[in-house]
Amino acid sequence: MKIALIGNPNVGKSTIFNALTGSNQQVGNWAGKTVERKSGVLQRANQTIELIDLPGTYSLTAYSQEEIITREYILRERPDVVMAMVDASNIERNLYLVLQILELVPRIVIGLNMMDLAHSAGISIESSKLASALKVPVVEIVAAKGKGIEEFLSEAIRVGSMASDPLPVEVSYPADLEQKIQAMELLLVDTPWVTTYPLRWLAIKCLERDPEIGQKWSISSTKLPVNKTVNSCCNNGDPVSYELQEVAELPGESLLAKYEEDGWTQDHFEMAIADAKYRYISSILPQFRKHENPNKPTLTDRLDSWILSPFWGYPIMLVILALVFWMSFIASAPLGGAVSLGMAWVADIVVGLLQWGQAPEFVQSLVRDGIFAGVGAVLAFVPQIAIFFAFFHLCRIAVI
Amino acid sequence: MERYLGDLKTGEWARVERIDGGGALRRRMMDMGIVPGVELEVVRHAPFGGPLQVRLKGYYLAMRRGECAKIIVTEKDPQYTDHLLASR
Ligand SMILES: Nc1nc2c(ncn2[C@@H]2O[C@H](COP(=O)(O)OP(=O)(O)O)[C@@H](O)[C@H]2O)c(=O)[nH]1
Ligand SMILES: [Mg+2]
Repeated sequence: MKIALIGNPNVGKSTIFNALTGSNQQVGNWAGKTVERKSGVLQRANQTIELIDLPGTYSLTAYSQEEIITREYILRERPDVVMAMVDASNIERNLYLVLQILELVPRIVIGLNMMDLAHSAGISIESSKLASALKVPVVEIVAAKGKGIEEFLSEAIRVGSMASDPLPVEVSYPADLEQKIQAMELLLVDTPWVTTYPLRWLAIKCLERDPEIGQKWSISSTKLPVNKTVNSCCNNGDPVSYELQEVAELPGESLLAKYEEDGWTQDHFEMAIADAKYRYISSILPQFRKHENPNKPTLTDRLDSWILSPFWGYPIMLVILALVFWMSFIASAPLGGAVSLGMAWVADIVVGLLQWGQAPEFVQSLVRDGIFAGVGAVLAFVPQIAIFFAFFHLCRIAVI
Repeated sequence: MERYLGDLKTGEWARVERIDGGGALRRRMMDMGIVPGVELEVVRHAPFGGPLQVRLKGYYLAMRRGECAKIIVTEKDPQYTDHLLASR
């Protein structure tokens, strides 16, 4: 079974991926792209599962490398089920991607992550209500603490092995747009394309003049044997690449031209479709989300109002930099001195032992002047470097 | 009164009227939820003509000034009450 992890950047996909695959990962690059391709193999209930960690994306259009990779993977490699990760603390924007996935593949499970962050921001989400609003299973998780990950996977396996496709909700578009989508559907319904793509998605993409539509691709797979853990430094990468076979003309050109005369250009369609999805999300939101004290600033807000203030920002930055500098260079000096003294003391003992054992003079010199003096000079810098990197790491995680 | 998003002062709310221009940038803005009718607040401006931070739909977004010049806004709707603070 092939399972794909999809979601906005930073929702916790890699955290889940690493927790599930452990060291059993293959790391390469997507063919012709500078984006990492990570897949892993795991075993559950006599099933071999290939899990793939797709790059984070906000949308499934064809405008950035990450979007293109994600949609090409879904369209061409066809995972059996999609694990859609959603950030519970930022659910509107995250559901926008989910709605796009739902138009393309019916077999999805939503992983509602960051429940801890949502909770501390005063947001509560009833996952069962979300599930019934979208008619899709929802599993609550806190990926960073390992909570709910196995449940998320077993729900995905259950949906992936269902005999027939489930029927998730369809976004309801405004009447004028809906009528245009249906007119396009009528033109497409008898073409062979509906066997490869869902009809409604195909119609919408035709209206958006999406370049993918009408292209036929073949996948050439030079897959390394599964279960082999590949060293990421020496991997030849690119396990799968796509080849364009042919580009077919789809019906509907004259219909599109007619719409364009009425002002429904490609831009207009794109805007109307995005708008309708966001409106749809707003309309179902009250069913499952409650926001207590929405006007109470979070800790980050309160910190930001000082640290990012146009006036206080600069002195605060200088103080923090001065503190890092002082800790790394001045406060660490006695520690570095202590390391040197300790090394000299150990050297004396070892050389004393060598003298007692009547080792030749050149061995004593090697140990005293070479090993202890040489290595000691380097070790004296360790406290300084350690303190600096401790701060460096602190700044890095503070950003996240 | 129509204005560019980039001309708003810190702490001002406005309602998105339309996005000028086309292509990838406009599409990206739409995908981030900047669609006509949405209300957003300018939270702060970075100094020296740097990006500005806006709040919409309960999350923060940073945008270059040049990008904001493409977004045309009007006064917010006094009836609209869903002014959530960002949680992310
Ligand atoms: N508070 C909190 N942080 C999380 C949770 N899940 C993941 N994170 C953190 O979110 C960050 C982004 O996670 P990552 O897995 O790299 O996200 P990706 O971009 O979707 O692959 C990391 O610092 C994680 O530790 C969660 O449930 N709660
Ligand atoms: Mg990742």
